[in-house]
Formats: sequence, C-alpha cells, structure tokens
Amino acid sequence: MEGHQRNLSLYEHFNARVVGVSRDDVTTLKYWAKSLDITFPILSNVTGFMGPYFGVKPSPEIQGFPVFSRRTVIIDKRGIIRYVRDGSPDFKDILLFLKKMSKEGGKP
Amino acid sequence: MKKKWVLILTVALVLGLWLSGCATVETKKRPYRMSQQGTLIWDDEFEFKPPPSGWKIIEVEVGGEFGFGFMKVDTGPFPSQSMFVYDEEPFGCSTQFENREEEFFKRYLWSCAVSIDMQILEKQKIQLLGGEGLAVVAEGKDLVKKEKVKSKVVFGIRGDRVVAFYLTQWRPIDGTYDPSAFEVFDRFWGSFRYLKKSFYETITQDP
Amino acid sequence: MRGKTFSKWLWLFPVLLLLVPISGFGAKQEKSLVGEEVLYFSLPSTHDRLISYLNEYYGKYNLIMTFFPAAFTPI
Repeated sequence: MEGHQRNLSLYEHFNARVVGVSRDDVTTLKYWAKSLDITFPILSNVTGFMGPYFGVKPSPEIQGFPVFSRRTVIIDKRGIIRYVRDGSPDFKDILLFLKKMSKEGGKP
Repeated sequence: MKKKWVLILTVALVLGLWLSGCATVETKKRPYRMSQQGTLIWDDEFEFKPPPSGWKIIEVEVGGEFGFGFMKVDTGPFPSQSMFVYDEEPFGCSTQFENREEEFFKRYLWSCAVSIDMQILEKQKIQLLGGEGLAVVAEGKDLVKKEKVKSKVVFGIRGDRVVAFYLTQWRPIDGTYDPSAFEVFDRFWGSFRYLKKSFYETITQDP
Repeated sequence: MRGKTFSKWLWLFPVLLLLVPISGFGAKQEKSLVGEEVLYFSLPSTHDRLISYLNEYYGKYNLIMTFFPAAFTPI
C-alpha cells in the first residue's frame, strides 16, 4: 500500500484513484492506515462478498480464517474492468497501463 | 520391419518437437558491465565504484525489497556478514527525509523487529546525488538470539522521490564490527550517479 | 491379423500425445474478468463514510483496487 501512496500524484496525472480492500473491520484498518500514513481510502468488506465477484480467492497463507488473496484490478471510468493481476501490485505495470488507457481515451 | 522403424522415428520426432519447447535453457544476460574508468555500470542506468573483491553481487527480481547490492560473509561465528544495497523505493511514503526516516525504521528489518530494538546513534545532513541527503547510523541488539546489527542508511532524492542506500552488518552480540565495510559503503553511495532519468520521471512524458 | 490392425492405428498415439497439452485437459478454466462490467459496490471505509463506486468514481475516475489479506501482517 505504501507503493500506492507514493504514486498518488502519478495516478492523479492519469485521472485515477486507488482504494485498498480487505476483510478487516474499519477500526483495524484505520489504525493500520494511520501507522503507514496512508491517505487513500481502505475499504472494509467483512462479509467478503467482493471476493467471488472479483475472482479473489481465499488466501492460502492463513488457513481457516477468511482473508483475500492479493489482486489488483483497474476499472475504467465507464465501469469496465480493464486490468487484473494477482500477487503484490506491480506499480510500474499499473502506471504503464494507466498511461496506455489515457492514450486510448478510456475506450475498452 | 520398415514400417516399424518409420513409426519409431515418427514418435521420436514428435516427442522431440513437443519437449523442445521446455528443454531449452535460457541464458540470462548480466545486467552490469565495467567501464573503462573502472566504474561499474548497472543496467545502463547507474554508475558507481564497485567494492573490492570478496563482495558478491545480490540481484533481486522486480518487486523485491530492494534493487541490487553486495554481500560479504565475514570471518567469525554466525551471524557475521555485511550487506549493502541501493533501494529505489525504500519503505515509507514521505518525501521529507526526517519523516521518511521514521517510516523506514518502522519496517526496516521487519522480520527481526519483534526482538530487535533499533537505536539511532547518529544523524547527519550530507550531500549526495547532486543534492541534499540524510545519513543515519543505527544499532540494534537481539538479546534472545544473542545477535546485534549495525546499520547505516543514506537517504537521497531522485526526481521527486526518496531513494536509499543502506548497509547492515550482523555480528554475534559480543562480536566486533568491521569499519572497513562502512568505508566501502561510503565509497559506493559517494560515487553513485544516474546515467538516465528514472521510470517515474519519464512516465508522465509523452514519447 | 490383430497385430496388423494394432500397428495400423499406432500412429494415432503420438498425435493424441501432441493434442493433450493444447487441449487444456485437466486445466481449470478461469473466466477472465477483463471486459466485464464492475459490480457497483458501497463499502465502509477508513474515511469515516460509505464509499460508493457509483457516486465517487463512475464517470469520473479510473479506479485501482488492490485486495490484500490483512492489516498489520507481512503477508
């Protein structure tokens, strides 16, 4: 998430915003965001309904406790999913994709 | 008999073609080369004075904790090793050195942070990369594992982002630190220069 | 007779071997989300308010969403 925080001004250049999503409760996320000086919103999805929709499988690292795996998704202004990548975010890849999208004018 | 041999050859050819795609060994190109002036050029992007022999190159794949560095196993009982790296994206987000230093040390050596108490010994404003920087020396002791670590972290600016160089030297708790590694490290960041703009400096520019 | 029939069809074996990897036999086919319309969600956030995709991002900004396992962990 610190990588996203460092790139906020670059995302803004490409008319993009960023959010984090986990199954933690809001209070935990607020303390965590404050500890890392994260200013963009972190969303709390305790029930986990976002997971199946976005194809986010339960993380294999924690057995028996429902958490998301890492996945980054980019949605364009028209509400169409344009980019999906599993694992830790590749920030350079994200920026290159945003640049490509901005050149296309956001056409899917 | 003839048909049998034709069949065997056909099967062998098919299998050979099928497996050839996975049987080749990809040769990896070295990302560095020596210049005529005796400096090391990394990825045609960074240039610096290389450390003396005995230091091994560490290279991390994209997404790792740091970019590249050098490591040396020192004489003495475990753990006796020194390592210094260049990190294009050190822990933290602030562009102010003092704040970044605080953020950095919250996560630095995270896996050991539970049992290591890092104390800042020294802080100094310095000049590097053609601009201002901040050098911090810290030490931490793990009383459970009976180990200690001394670290020098140097923050600088590239474009509008903070970069860092850091050296960690591990010793048994009653061991002695080797100052020569710190001298090698100082020569490394002191001679470091960029040969081209970074990815982040050019991403917003049109080709 | 049986031997002749067997060797007559033996050539089929390597051809079938070739087809197995490209057929995706045994591989679980995951439907790609790219090109799909996003779910219009509303969720509580660290900004002390419900964040609604429709109100805050749709028609205005591209949105990067990173799903992660848990706060305060190295995973």
